[in-house]
Amino acid sequence: MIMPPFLHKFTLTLHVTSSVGLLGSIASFLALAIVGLTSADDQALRSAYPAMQPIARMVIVPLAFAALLTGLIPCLGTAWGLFQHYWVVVKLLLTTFATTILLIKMALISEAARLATETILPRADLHAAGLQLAVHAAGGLTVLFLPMVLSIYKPQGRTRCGWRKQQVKLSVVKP
Amino acid sequence: MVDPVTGEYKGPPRWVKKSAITAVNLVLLFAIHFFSIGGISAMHPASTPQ
Repeated sequence: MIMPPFLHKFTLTLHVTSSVGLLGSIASFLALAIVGLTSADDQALRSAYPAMQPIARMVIVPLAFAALLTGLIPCLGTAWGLFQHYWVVVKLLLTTFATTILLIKMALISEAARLATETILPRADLHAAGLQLAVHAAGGLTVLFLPMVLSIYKPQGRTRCGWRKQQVKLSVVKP
Repeated sequence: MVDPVTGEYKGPPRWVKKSAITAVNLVLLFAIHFFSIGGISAMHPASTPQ
């Protein structure tokens, strides 16, 4: 099924917006994690960790799913296909992996926000949680930067499935 | 990758193979680091002694 050009451009616009927005929101999350990790001020800790929770829940998670879903639609609706080119498969795997890790880490984000609201601030626990969150945010930023690079460069290489489909098309074209 | 002479399919291109090897190396590196510090339970704040 080939998508009409206007629909393809619309979904592509949504995909680029959500993907770039995701990178930006993870960068802001990382900034808060670094503040939580490095600040000696109790007030800064009590502000940074609880702020990370709504950013993750209301911005990062929806944008991650939006990037994943809006990425699938143009693939299925155009000649690129979903499993025909290696760069598309790698991009899908990286985004799925990053989204899965994000969902797994949501509990830790809530835990860090909860710890930051305790009367006596558990600094050691918050530091351990903050370290994990900072490492995962930096890792997520790196992992999600790669799909963007792949989308721009579109490195060559068809999968076996893509090669077979190309052969079928060529045999149909040839008399 | 397609053989330019025979036109036969010759498996994934070099960048896919190199990326896969790098990914496996990173996973192994993470696994070694992860187990050397005592696993996920030691990192999780909920399990840290109060």
